Amino acid sequence: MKFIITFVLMVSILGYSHLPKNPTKFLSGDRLQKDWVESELTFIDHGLDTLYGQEVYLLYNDSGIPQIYYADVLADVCIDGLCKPLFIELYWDLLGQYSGFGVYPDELLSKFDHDLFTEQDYEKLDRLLADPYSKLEGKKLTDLYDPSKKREKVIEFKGKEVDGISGATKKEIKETVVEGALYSCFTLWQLANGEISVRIKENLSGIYTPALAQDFMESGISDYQVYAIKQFDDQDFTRYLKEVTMVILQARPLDRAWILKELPLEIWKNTTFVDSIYSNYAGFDSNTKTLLVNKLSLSTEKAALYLSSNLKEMTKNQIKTFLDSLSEITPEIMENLVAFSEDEQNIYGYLGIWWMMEYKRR
Amino acid sequence: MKRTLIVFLSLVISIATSFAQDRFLIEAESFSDKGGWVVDPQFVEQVGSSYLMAHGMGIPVRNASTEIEVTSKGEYQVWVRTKDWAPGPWDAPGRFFLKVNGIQLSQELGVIPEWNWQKAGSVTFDKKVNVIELVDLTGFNGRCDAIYFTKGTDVPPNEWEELLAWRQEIGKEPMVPAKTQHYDLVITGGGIAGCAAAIAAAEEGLKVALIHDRPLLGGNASSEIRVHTLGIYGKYERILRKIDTEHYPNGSIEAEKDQEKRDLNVKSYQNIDLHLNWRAYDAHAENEEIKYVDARHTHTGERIRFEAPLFVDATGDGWIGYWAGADYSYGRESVYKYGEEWTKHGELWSPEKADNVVMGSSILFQTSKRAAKSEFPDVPWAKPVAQEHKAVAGEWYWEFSRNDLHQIDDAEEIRDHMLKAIYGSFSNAKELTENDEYALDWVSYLVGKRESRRLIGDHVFTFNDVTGLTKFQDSVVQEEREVDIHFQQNLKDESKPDFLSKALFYRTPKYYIPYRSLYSRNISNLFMAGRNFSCSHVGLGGPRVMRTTGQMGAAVGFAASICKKYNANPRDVYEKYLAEYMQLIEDQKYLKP
Ligand SMILES: Cc1cc2nc3c(=O)[nH]c(=O)nc-3n(C[C@H](O)[C@H](O)[C@H](O)COP(=O)(O)OP(=O)(O)OC[C@H]3O[C@@H](n4cnc5c(N)ncnc54)[C@H](O)[C@@H]3O)c2cc1C
Repeated sequence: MKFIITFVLMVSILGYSHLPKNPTKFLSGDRLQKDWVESELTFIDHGLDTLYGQEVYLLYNDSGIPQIYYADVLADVCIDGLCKPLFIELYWDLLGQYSGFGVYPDELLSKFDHDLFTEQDYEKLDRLLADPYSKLEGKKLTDLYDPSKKREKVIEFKGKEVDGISGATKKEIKETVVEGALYSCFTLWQLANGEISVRIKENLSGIYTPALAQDFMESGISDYQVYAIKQFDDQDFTRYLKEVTMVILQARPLDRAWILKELPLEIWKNTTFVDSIYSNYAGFDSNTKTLLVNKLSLSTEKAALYLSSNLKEMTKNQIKTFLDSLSEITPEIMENLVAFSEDEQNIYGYLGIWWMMEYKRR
Repeated sequence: MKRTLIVFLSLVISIATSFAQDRFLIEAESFSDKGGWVVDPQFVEQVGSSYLMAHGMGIPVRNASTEIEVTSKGEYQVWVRTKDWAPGPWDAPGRFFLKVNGIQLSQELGVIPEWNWQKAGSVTFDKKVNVIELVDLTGFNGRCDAIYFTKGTDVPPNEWEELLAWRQEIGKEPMVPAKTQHYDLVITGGGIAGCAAAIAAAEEGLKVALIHDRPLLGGNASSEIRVHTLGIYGKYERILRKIDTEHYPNGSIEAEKDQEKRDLNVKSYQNIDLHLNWRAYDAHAENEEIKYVDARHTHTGERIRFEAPLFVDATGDGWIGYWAGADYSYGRESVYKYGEEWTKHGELWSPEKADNVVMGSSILFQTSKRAAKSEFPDVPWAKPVAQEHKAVAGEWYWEFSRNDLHQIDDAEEIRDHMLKAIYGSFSNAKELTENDEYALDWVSYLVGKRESRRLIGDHVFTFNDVTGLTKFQDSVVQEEREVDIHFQQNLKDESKPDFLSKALFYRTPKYYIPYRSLYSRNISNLFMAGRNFSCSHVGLGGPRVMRTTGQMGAAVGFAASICKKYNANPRDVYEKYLAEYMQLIEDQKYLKP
């Protein structure tokens, strides 16, 4: 067996180009381009469970712009001394995030009872690999494998069996891996989310050129755009304001928060920006909403007006902050406040009433 | 039924009698028979008092009742300080009535948003001894802070300063306690850290006061919150085994076994003067030295002043330090402040710009499958939080933190949000026939916190002390458990409910915490132990677990004994008596149980 594997590996290293050999089965949202024409060996990872160092290639498009990382994986999945090879092609984006895989038609993934993976199994595998925070992180195979196959401890207290307790890590893990393929899943997760991912991320600053920056901004891929924005200076923010605005609208809350914290002050007064962001207030997550309310004092009257028409979308503290930071009460804002306070559907309508009473008193 | 002494208003003492009989205030937590209502002392600093809460998990609880003596017969207007904790277009979940001498007052209570006085109705007293009762209607956390009876048309105040002053006056409860007690060491907070500090100091012969606001010891490890203790024992195995827990699943009723052990062990020390159900409300410092801590009984309102040369803040929230003016931090430092970067996790680990985000708080709960179908009421008020989420079990990752909420100032809202998450998700799950037999066995009403104020010491423990495996001259705590930092799932994936978190684990060999992180840098006689020790946000990621916080407690208890021996302060122990102190700790290893 070992001999065959070695042979396959030698052939693959020496004999072929290092572009993927199989169509991708999953590739994150089809966002990443597939016109890869060139490959370059970036590093060899000597992490776990691959038989030999794992070569990781950077694939380029025909304009010479880096597109994706790729590894042709031959891993050895062993349990109780019984090993079988696992063939798969893995992909990472330029930020080191797992991005998909392809399989060899004659080496389809199989479970320990030799049944082939079903389509659902492949989907589950893709979901697992795409979760960098999986409970598999930092685990050893022996942590997961219970050789004695004893039934999970029955929790009993005061003569009563206590059920409904989750949290046994093993149970949580079981729910996320493909049944009957724990070891393959484990090995692949470590490959997809381990050292290789970190090294790719570290590699990015070295290959980051103005052309790639441009490519990132135009990619429509939020993570790339966020990375590009993170390299901005103040002038870049102004230059790319339209794109930045789009990214704020579409990015994950975490990234949105980063951008909102970093925006140069003058942008908060920019009417186009205020119109696009504050008018969309209701569409944002709660943490973003807090940041937007907190920034009101830096922004314009128009922003206050937008917020006043979105009071029902706010938490109690957001409303309080908003009301506290109102500098000028225009008739339109007052109208919105009254409408908000009078609508019984509004949980915090009373805050508006209290505020108006206090306002009148003053 | 014991009689509750009612308290009369005395605006001016000399003319007290003329007003006295016409108005009086009854603190709900002082009811002699609390029935199924629980005393909630967690939010005194925000509400103004402990309160009674009908925590029945959807089943109305037994009436709370008390007898009052009324010396001035006649008609009284009745006001109740209460709160609708889930205001919205539905029946308030926490509704209740007041009964006087068996007659229900007209107004349904618990239906106004935010803590405020609600008119309950009027009542005519025509005899001296009268019975008042709280009648819960829902089992869903109705709350009653106090009841005010007045013959006049006055409305009790609700504005904070005014309310406090009014309360002290009418309750004849001056802020300054009438009673003062003296100790060698006063420890506030009876979590694992506080318990360990008390034991270590008591074993070295110190006379110790341990002030804890609950009836049971252990804080998050108690059977009231039910988190199991993690971490290693370091040099203090003998002491920590007296108070830690087995590795039961979080939320399990098994916590009760360890509760019994812990309470018995701590109570077995003659020189630990245990004050259970006492909550500290002030610490007074002069010239950067604490003179006393004032505490109040959470049921009776009795007050005691605790004087000592040395104090330990083991409240988890850094209250003693906060009141005394100790330097503290809250939130996440910028990654550049201490260089705590972990590239792999970027902003989630340590942000570029400092912010007020901290790890969240949790409410654990437990369910079981019954022999027959079990009903659960509709909870429309919980659905905006739970949304579509279904669950018949919880765990540590039911955790809530949001950037507009402060873990201390907004703790009641955080607790209530988690109650909505639990009741709503459980109710959603009950819509599936497969869950017909499930019922809630237990839902905590105490919010389990992870992070709030961190007092600043001579050394601020950071992630670098972990990655660098720094060995300090004064390493008194050691740990090898991973550093884990939590983040809310919805930061990465907006579709997730806002009450679920994930953990990032950094695995590490053994690392050390120096003694200098366990005393205040600017309050000369203040130690701290537990999650409010001197650390950065990321620094707290590892050592917040409770065997580690227990080690801190023990280390501080022993340091206090050195302080006593030489009439020294905590910093002197490091500067002048370190060898002796380290030897004392080293010797612990060899003592048999
Ligand atoms: C859901 C959850 C899961 C966790 N998982 C684990 C785990 O598995 N293992 C682990 O070891 N740790 C775990 N942790 C962390 C750990 O429980 C906390 O860090 C713990 O609070 C540390 O203990 P402590 O003694 O510092 O504080 P606490 O446990 O909070 O104890 C302090 C006590 O002081 C009392 N107090 C506060 N203010 C006053 C006052 N003014 N007067 C009198 N008394 C006061 C309070 O009642 C409080 O309980 C978890 C935490 C949570 C919330």
